[in-house]
Amino acid sequence: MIRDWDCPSCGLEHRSTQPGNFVPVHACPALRGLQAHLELRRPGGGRPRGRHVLVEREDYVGRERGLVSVDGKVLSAIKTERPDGSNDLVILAPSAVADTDIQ
Amino acid sequence: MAWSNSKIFSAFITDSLNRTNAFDLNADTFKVALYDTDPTPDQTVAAANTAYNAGQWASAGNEVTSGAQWATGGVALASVTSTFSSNVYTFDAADTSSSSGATITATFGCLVYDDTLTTPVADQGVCYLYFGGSQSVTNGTFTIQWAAGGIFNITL
Repeated sequence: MIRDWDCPSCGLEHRSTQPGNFVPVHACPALRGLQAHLELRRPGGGRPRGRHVLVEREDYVGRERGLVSVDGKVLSAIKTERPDGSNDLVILAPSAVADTDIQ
Repeated sequence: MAWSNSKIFSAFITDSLNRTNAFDLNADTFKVALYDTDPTPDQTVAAANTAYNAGQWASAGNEVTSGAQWATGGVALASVTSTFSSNVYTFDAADTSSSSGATITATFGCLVYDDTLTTPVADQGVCYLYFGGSQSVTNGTFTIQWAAGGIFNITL
C-alpha cells in the first residue's frame, strides 16, 4: 500500500509502502530532533492542516531520569493535532533507574 | 493522583538474583499495559502484587485500553535488548505503538511485565513508568518512545 505523508512542522515528505494501519514518526528538525508523527496527505494534496504541540510535564520532576527538555521546559509528549479533533501522541517515557553508586 | 515516579520493582531484582522466578530478559515476552490515575504504584510490594491484573495493577477499573489498537493486557515489546556497557545494564526495546484509530483516554503511566512467566507469579512486573500527567489520544496513534537510557537501567 503506497501512502504519502507530510510533516506539519518541517515540511518533510515521506512515502510509505508497508501494509497495515500505522502512522510513521520522524525526528523533526523543526522540533529539535524530537520524534513526531506525520500527517497523511489528503487527496489533491495541499499543506498539512495538523500541528505539533509540545506537551509539558504536569508534575514535579523529582528524581525521574531520562526526561526530555526543550528551552528549559520538561516535556512529557509530542502531540499531533488534526482539525477534526483527532490526534496522535508520542509519549516521551522516562527510564526506571537503579544507581548502586550514588555520590 | 497517585502516580509520582518511575521505579524498578524490588521483587524483580530479588527474585531474579534468588532464582525465585525465571525471568529471562533476552528471551521472554514482555508487555506494556496502560493505567489511569487510580493505581498507587509501590516499588517494594510483594512479587504477587507487582503482576499484571493484581493489586494496584488490576485491569478492572484501572487499565486503559482501546479495543484491538491497544488490547487488554497491553502491547508486546519488540526488539528487546538486554545489555551491559560502561558499567550500566540497560533493558530496552523498540518504541511501542498502537495501530491507528486508537482512542486512549487519561492514561498516566504503564506497567512493564513478563508475559511469559506462569509460576510462581504469573505476569510478574518488572517496572512501572510515569508519563508525567494525563495523556490521551483520540482516533489516532499512541506511541511510547522509550528513553535513551532504556526502559530501565542499573548503574554499577
